[in-house]
Amino acid sequence: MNWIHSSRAVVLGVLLAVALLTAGTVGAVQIAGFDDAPDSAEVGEEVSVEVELTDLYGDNVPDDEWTLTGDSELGGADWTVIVRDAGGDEVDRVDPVNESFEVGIDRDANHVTVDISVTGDIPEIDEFDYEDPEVEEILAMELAQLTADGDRATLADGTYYIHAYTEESREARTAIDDAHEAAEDADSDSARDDVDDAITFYNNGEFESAANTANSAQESVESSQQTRQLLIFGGAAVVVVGLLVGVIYYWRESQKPTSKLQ
Amino acid sequence: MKLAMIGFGQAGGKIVDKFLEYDARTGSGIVQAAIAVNTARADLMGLQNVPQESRVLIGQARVKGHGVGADNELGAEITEEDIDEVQGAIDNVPVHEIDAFLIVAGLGGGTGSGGSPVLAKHLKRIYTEPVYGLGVLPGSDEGGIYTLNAARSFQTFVREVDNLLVFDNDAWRKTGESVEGGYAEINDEIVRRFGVMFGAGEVGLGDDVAESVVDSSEIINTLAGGGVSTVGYDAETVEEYNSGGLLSRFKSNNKDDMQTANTTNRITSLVRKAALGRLTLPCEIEGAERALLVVSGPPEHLNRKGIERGRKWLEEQTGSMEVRGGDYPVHEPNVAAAVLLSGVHNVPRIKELQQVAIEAQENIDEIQKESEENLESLVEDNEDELDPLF
Repeated sequence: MNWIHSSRAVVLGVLLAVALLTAGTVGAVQIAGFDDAPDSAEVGEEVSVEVELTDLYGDNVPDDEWTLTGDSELGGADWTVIVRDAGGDEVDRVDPVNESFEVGIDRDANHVTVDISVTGDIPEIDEFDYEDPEVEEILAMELAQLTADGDRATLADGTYYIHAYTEESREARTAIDDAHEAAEDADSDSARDDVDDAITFYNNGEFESAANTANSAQESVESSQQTRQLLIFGGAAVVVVGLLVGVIYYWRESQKPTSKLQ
Repeated sequence: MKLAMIGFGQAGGKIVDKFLEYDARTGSGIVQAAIAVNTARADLMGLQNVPQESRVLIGQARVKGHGVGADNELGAEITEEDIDEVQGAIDNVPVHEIDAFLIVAGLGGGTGSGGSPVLAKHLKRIYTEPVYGLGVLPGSDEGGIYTLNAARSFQTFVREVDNLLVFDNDAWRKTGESVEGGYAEINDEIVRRFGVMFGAGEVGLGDDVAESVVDSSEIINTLAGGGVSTVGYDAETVEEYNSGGLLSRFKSNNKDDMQTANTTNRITSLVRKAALGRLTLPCEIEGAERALLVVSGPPEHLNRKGIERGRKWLEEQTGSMEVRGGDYPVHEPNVAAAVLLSGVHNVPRIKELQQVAIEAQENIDEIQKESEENLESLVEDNEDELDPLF
């Protein structure tokens, strides 16, 4: 067997593996709608997340009868869960106003799709971390399966977080972002130190100090950049003027008659 | 030829100033040192190229820096008194590097006219280098006193220098030109002529060396016999060939003979025009004791035959066998001939100048004699009845 045959075998093997993996996920419960939900929201703001569940009896949900459950950290989470049949008609509906819901899914009862929506307020957050934004995230929706034997398994891709912020924290984060970028552009160590200080302030929840420190870091970078730019332009101007004077001097010299005889 | 130039008086200072400008502009390297001497502070301040430390103001005790007012006897006296101040400036000149001194002066004025012969006498006593004079004669319309000054100074100056090169303003004055423009043009003419003549032997780095070099000794020997000299000059614009070009090599093959003939004719014609029509001091060239011919121009426009014919023609015309000649290659589209005629005798202009000077002298004497009588008759009353106070 030469190398062409062996490489062909490898390619075939890879294709087979890809096909098997894809087939494994085709049967999973499909959740659509998180794309339209907000990524971030201010603390106290009311947000809604709406999704539609299809393929309710896939490979990862082997039972024909199971319980769908949902959780949310949103304040006063107001759920609306509608189970529909193949024709899209409502078969079952729950709308509890608390932190979780449960609804039975049954193939025999012709349960085909589920529409879920939750509306609630972004709660206060206690911890801030500039470098690890997950700390600032609120669980907006988590969908899970309760099997007949009472096991709880989170559905694949069934979790959605919303980044929470306050007005101060957002301003401070933006200021730090800008200052960080400016410090990296200018490759300034002192500005980087200032940015680190600002991040420490941010993580401690002292947003005003964080924003001030970040802004002053950015200003110092910009002013030093301006000075540098001014120097460059000044130098260029001096060179240009020098060249000009040289050219004029050369021209005037060349215009002078140098004839010895006439 | 490297010269130490001393400009005496207003005209002399200006001409030396021009020489410096010419030297810097053309790089001919003839002015080794330049000194300006004057009794008038304003004239010294008007110079542009003479270094400050080489400007010597003399006679401050007598005339307070205001000049001698065309009194050349006073100019001579002051120079005699303050000769050490002039010598002080000359002491800074590296005399071992120069070939000759050249004292430049207008002969019609006061300071230069009176002082330059005194300085010449002084320099000749101290140095072994030849001392030449360049004297500028005033125009005949400039007035009797200037003519008288010039005639007297000329006599003395010729006696004191090794050779006096003369430039006659009268021959060069054109009608209708401004005072400043007129003198500036005349000074340009002076500088160009003597610049070509004295610059001929000075070869710098990268210059072409002449076929027949006019060395400073040639000039010195031509001027050696003393007396009065005049310089003739004429130039013509020519097309400069690009001798290194491929095209010109093809071209020149066909036209070589014709060009040689043209070049020869051009040179002889220039020599004739220079000697007969364009002398600094118009004179009869017959009887000139010695002559020197310098033909200058792009090397391809100079040829030995032309120069030899020009030289021969000069021998015939002057009747002198002592005619030297050479070439001075320069890279510019002009061909010029400069003729130095030394020991010229037949100069009608000098005779005319002397005649006018004699008349002026007589007139002055007469007026001076009458002056006392006239004043007396004016001041005294007829019957002498009045007495003076004391």
